[in-house]
Amino acid sequence: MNKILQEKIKEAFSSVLPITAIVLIASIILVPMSAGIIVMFLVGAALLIIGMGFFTLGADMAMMPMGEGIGAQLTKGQSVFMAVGVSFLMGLIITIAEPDLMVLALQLAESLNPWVLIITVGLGVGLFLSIAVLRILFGIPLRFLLLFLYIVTFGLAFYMQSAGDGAFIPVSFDAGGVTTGPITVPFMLAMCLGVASLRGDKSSKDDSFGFVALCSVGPIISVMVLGVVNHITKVTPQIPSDESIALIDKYTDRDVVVQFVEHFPETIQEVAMALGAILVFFVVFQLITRRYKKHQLARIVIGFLYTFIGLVVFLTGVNVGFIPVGSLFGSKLGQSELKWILVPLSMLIGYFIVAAEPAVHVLNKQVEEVSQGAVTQKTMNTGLSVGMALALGITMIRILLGIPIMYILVPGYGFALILTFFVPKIFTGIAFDSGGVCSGPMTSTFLLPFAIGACAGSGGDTMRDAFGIVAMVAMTPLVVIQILGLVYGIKMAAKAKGLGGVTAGAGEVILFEEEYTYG
Amino acid sequence: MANTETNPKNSNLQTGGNILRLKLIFLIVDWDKARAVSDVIEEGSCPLVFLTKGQGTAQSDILDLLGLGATDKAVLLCVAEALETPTLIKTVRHAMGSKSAGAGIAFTVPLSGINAPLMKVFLEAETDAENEKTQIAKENPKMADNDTTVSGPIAIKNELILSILNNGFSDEFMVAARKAGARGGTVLSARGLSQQIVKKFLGISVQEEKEIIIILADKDKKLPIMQAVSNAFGISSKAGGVIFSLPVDQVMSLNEI
Repeated sequence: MNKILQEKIKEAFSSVLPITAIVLIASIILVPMSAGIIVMFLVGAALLIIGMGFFTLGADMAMMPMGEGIGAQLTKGQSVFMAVGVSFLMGLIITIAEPDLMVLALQLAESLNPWVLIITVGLGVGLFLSIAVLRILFGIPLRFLLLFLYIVTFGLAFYMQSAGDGAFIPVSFDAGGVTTGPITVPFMLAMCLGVASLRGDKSSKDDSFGFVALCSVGPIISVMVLGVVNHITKVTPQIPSDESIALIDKYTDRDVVVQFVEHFPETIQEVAMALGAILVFFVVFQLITRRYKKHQLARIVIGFLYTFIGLVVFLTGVNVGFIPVGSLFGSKLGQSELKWILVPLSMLIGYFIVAAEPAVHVLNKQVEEVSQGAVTQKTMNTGLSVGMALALGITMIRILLGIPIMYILVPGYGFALILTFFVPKIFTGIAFDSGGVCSGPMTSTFLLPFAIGACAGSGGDTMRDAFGIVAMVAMTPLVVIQILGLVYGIKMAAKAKGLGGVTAGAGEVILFEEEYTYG
Repeated sequence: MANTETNPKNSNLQTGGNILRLKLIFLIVDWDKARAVSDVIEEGSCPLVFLTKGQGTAQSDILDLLGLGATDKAVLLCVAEALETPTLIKTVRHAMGSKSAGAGIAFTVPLSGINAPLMKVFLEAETDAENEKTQIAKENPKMADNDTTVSGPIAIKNELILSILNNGFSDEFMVAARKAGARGGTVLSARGLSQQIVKKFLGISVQEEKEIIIILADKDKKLPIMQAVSNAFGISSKAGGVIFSLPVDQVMSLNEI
C-alpha cells in the first residue's frame, strides 16, 4: 500500500481509538448507557477517524504551504504597512468565519447581539495577528509581550471581579481558546513559520512559533472588555437538555443515521464559510504575487478539498456523536455516590483525548520539523497529554470543591510566565501556541458538556465552575511544554560540551590530494 | 616525533599516504527513521553528524496531486573515516530494521580537505579505538606504519547532481530530470545568501527562498540529465538554477538486509 496513505490511516486510528475505547469501557463499568447512544457514539467515532485522516492530509497539502507562502511573501514585500494591513485583514476574516465563535456568540445571545461579539473578537484577533507579525519583524522577545498582555488580562479580570462581573471571567478565557479552532490554527502556525523563515539571523528559528499564542490572548481581552461594557451576566450553555438525551435513549439504528444525515448540511455550510474566507484571501494573494506554479496550485486545490471533506466529516461526527455521551457521562457520575471517581477518570480521558484534536497533529509535526527531529512528535504528544490530564483533573476538583477559577489561573499563568525566562526561547512560542491548539473541537463538544454535566449533577454553579474548562485546557500545556523545554535545554547544553574541546590549529586546513578515476 | 597539538603542521596530519582518508556520507532515509539512524551513527565512530529535512519526489504526477506522492525524508550528512563506512552503513541498516523496503540510500563523496581540529578528532578516535580507551595519546607514533591508510586513485561510478533553484520549481525540474533518466531526487529548502539578493528589511536581512535538489545518478546518465535540465532551469531562466555535479565513490542501498 502507498506509504503516505498507510501512515495517515495509522495516525487517524491511533488518535481516535484510545479515547473511544476508554469511554466505552467506562460506560460499561460506571455509567451504563442505552444502545442508541452507544451506536451514535460509535458512528461518531468512525466519522472522526475518516475526518481526521482527510484533515491532516489536507492540512499538509494546502493549509501549510498556503500559510507559509503568505507569511514568506509578507516579509519579502518589504513594506511594514502592507504586512500589518494584510495580517490584520486576514485575522479579522478568518476569525469571523470560524464556526466555534458562532457557537460562543449564541451562548451569549441573551445579553448581546451575536454579531457585536463576533466582530469584536475578529478585530481583536486581527489586531493581535498584526502585532505578532510586527513582533517578528522588530525582533521583540515573545515573553515580554506575553508578560505585558497577561498583566493587562489579569488586571481586567480583577476589575471585573471587584465590579461584580466575576462570573463572566471563565467565559472570557474560554473565548480565547475557542477562537483558535482547527481551521485557523494550521494556517497561523504555517504563516508564523513563513514570516520567520526568510530572516537570516540567529534567532529566526526561535520566532517560528507564537502567532497562535498572541491570537489567543486577543479574544480574551476583547470579550472581557465587552463584558465590562455591557454587563453581561447571563450565559446560556449550548448543551442538549435532559429531554433530548432521554429521546436518544430510544433511538433505533435508523434514527441514528438520520441524525447524522440531518446534521451534515449544517456542518457543510459552516465549514464552507470558514474555508471560503481563507480561499478568497488565497486567490487574491495568488493573483497578486503569482507565487505558486501550476502543479503546486493543483495540489493546493486538491488539499483544500481534502481539508473540507475532513472537517465536515469530523465536525459532524463530534457534534452529533460526542455531545450526548459527554453530557450524560458527566451528569450521571456527578449525581452518583462515586463522584470522586470523576477526577481520575477525567484525567485518563484527558490524557488520550489530546490525540483526537486535529490541530494537535499539525503543531506536533511542525515542532518536529523546526527542531529537525530533536523534539519528536511523540515527545510533544506525551507533553500535551500530560497537560490535558492535569487540566481535567484540576477542573474536576474545582467543580467538586467549588474553588474560584482565579485561584488557579493566577498562579498557573504566573508560573508559566516566570518559566519563559529560563527555557530555550523557541519553547515559549511552542508552549503558548499549544494552549490554543489543545482547546479545539473535542474540548468544546465532549469535555465542555462533560464538565457542565458533572457540575449540574453534583450541584455546582455551572456558569462559575464548569465554564473555564477551556481556560484550564489552554493553561496547563504552557507549563508542561515549557518544563519539557527546560529538560531539553539542559540536555542540549550537556551535548554541546562534548565537541567543544578541540581548539588546536583551528585556522589550519588539511588537504587530501588524491586523484579520481572514472570507470 | 613532534607533538601534534602544539604543531598543527606536523607531517602526521599532512597528506602523503600516511593519513586517514575521510569521506562525507550522505544518508537519505524516511523521516520517521531519522532518529534511529542518527543515534546509531553518533554511537558509532562518527563525531560529526548533521541532519536536515528534505522532501522525496513523487513517482508519478497523479499521486503527487493527490498528496500521496512525496514522502518526508531525512538527509544526514556525516564525516567518517573511509574504512569505517561499510561498518557504519551496516549498523545503520540493522537499526532501520527489516521492514525498510525502499527506505533509503547512502552514498559517499571523498573529501579533498578539512580543517585541522576536525582531523584531530578523527585521529584521536582512531587512537582511542586502538588503545582501547586508555588515556588519549597526544602523539600517535603508530600512524606512520599504520596499514589502515589508503592510497591509489578513487574509482568514480556515480555522480551527485546538485541543483539550486528558486523556490517552487522543483516539481517541473524533476519531471524533466526523470525523462532524462533520473530515478528520483530529494528536495531541501534553503535560503540564498548572494550579495546582490540580500535585502535589509527593518534591519533584518531577508533572503530569497531556494530549493536544493539532490539527484544521485549513474556516471553515464549524469550528462543527459544535466543537459536536459540546464536549458529550462539554468541560471538565465526564471528558475535561476545553479547545477553542478560531484563525484560519488560508493553507493549503498539501505533497503532490507
